[in-house]
Amino acid sequence: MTAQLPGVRSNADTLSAALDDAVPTVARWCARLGGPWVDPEDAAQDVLSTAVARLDSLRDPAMLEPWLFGITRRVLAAHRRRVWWRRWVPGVSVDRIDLAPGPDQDAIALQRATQLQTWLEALPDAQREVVVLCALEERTHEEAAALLELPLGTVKSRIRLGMNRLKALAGEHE
Amino acid sequence: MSDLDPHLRDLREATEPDDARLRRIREPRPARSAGWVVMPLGLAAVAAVGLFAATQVPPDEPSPAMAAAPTPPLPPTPEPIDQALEGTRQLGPWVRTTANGTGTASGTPTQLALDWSAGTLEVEVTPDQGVALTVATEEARVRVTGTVFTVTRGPLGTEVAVKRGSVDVQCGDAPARPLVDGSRTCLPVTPVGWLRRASALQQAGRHAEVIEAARRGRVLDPKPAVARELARQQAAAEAALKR
Repeated sequence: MTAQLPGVRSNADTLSAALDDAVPTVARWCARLGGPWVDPEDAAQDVLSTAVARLDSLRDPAMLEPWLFGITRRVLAAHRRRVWWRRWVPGVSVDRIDLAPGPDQDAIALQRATQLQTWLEALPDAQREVVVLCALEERTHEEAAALLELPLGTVKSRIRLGMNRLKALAGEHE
Repeated sequence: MSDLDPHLRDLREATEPDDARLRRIREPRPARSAGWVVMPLGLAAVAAVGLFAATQVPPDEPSPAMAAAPTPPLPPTPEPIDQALEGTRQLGPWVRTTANGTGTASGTPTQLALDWSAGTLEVEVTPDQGVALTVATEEARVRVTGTVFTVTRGPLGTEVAVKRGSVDVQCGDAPARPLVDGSRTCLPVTPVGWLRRASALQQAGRHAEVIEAARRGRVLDPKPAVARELARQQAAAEAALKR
């Protein structure tokens, strides 16, 4: 069945506005998926500049969030590689990016957040993404499956494996 | 999950962007940090030291046996591939893609994974070069070793069409089946996918198929907003058929 049905052409203004609304979401993804060494603001800027440059390629406005997540994933991978290389180059220092404490956060809370951030680094990328979306961002499995464009069963198995690994790491720490 | 709940809550709060951070992200990008100036300089310094050492130390005289035996060349390290698919791309020596839509390629020249989100992707793979290539969409997974084919992801689902050779097509969780000639469409696997299909069919006036798409989307336990829209599409199609 070859179907060339009339596609929904995106309105540039509407898309730009939707992209602006998505800035907090992208900022969260970069901070939660980038790990302790990637500068989340720098990565988020890269994601948004890439998205703006490629906005014409987004055919279905309803797919904005999965499309942005795909860009975020690639940008973060590039930033991680860049940080990894910089650690081996003489004359270049790589510092851990400190988490910005919220107004009500105390030192213990910040320590717990940093611990979890470190444990998340021990997960494979695929499990880390699902754990961040479902456990941290409290999205449903169905929402995560739609965002990642994965079968629901795959998301469920990844969250199970990821959470088990995190619990094991937490157990080792205690 | 209870042991991790405090950690999750604290990381959630610590990574919640405040207004100042959002403002900085939205601002025009400042010049890159000096680290990127230092890095090439550092690399150049390492290379210069290496070159100097190589020119100062006289090489050992090779034994006749060593001189006679040519050193076997090391196999080249494959360049990793990680890029967006746009226009015509050569992904290594044996794979060529022509993209009109959105997707990415990752892997190596002989182990390629293409993620395709929307539009049409034509893939040409040189046969018998040991290239393992997979194209994945929400509805379909296509595995190929040597062929020319297209993958079109649109509102109706994912259509795989083989021009030359053969591919294995796996629709959703169904077993993979070979596709030697012609085309196959993998139907949506999510309620949102069925809603997209129903909307496209509605625009095309294919009302009977709209009812079927809406029905199949609703049995997948959609979220309330999606369920409402599917029901609305179905009712509109039923009304159109009665007229």
